[in-house]
Amino acid sequence: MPSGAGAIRATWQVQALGTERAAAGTVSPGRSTPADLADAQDAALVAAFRAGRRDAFDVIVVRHRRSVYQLCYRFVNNHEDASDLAQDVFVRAFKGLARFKGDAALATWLYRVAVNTCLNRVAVKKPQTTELDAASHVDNRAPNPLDDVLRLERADAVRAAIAKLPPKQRATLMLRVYQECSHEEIATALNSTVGAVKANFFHALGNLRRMLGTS
Amino acid sequence: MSEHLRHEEFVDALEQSLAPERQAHLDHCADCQASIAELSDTLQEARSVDMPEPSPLFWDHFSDRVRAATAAEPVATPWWRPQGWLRPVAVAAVVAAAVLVAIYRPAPTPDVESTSDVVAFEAPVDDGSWGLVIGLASELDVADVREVVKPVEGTADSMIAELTAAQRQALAKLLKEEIGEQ
Repeated sequence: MPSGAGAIRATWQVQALGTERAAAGTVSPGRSTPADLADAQDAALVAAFRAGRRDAFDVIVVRHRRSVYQLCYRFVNNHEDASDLAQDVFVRAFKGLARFKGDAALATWLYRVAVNTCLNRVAVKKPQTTELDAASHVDNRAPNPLDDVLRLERADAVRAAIAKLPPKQRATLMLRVYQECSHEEIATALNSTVGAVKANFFHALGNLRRMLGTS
Repeated sequence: MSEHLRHEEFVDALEQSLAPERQAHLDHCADCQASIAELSDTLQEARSVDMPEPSPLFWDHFSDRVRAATAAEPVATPWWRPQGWLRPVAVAAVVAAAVLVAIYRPAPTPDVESTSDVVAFEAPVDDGSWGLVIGLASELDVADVREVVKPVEGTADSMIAELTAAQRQALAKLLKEEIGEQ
């Protein structure tokens, strides 16, 4: 028969074990396997990351790296800068994910980080509008090589015109046309309103038309 | 004729989501139709600008780069969740708060006769600090508390913990007699 202190200790240990088992029995994102995370919703990945799982962030990167890279590429028009920027976006996201409130989609929040990162970068670095690599990806089997050259020149002109748009118009155009975000998502990403987003989109197209008309 | 489309309405018209009453204006306004046509052409041109797709090998390399860049960074935990050094500090704060409450608990006034041997606990005035204490306490688990409040070997707490039930009753009786004599 245990002594009084021993009984107290035994009770204490039973309670402690019960607490630990109860915790283990709950669905904790920190105890999921990476295979589970691969199919997890973004919100579950964020929760798992906040619980200390770095591999949850790996899944987030795999899931969103292409769209983030594409958005960055649209800002700088070259692969090296786009990959550096996209990496910066995810490093910032890693540091700031604790502040992500979950009231918007994770993709929208990442676009917001990406737009801010890109605008900061292009503000100090002149955008490159022509890239040799881009030409190497063109299908040279086009029926008429001259058409192909003209099409490339026109595409360069459009990229150059987009690069000259004011920051908010540029970001709005890219998110709407290339990332196919809704106006509401763009408003969230740019910390703006739907009305302002539509007005910026209108002005972006108008400015683009004027620049292309004179080029 | 009603007024021309506003900027936002041009965008709605481009995206086939213009309100019916404004669509009626657009159907009869050559100026607005011309503007829509120009905007539509520009939009098509912007859409036609494709971008080169990186090599499939790039993506794994990219993930490796991100992983390497974040390797030295601590996982960003929300500020309200105690972590690292904050955890034992939170435990100590809760224990200290409990000790302070016990020490500064108001003594029963002599002219009020107690109807029970058990002194009723008086909740302190809620000044918000209890919310903090409760919040910290909710983050603790049994192991944390046991680690902090564990009786130190050789102290009175430790000795009392080793007593049997009968010995404790005897000790309690002695203490009551001692208190009663004062």
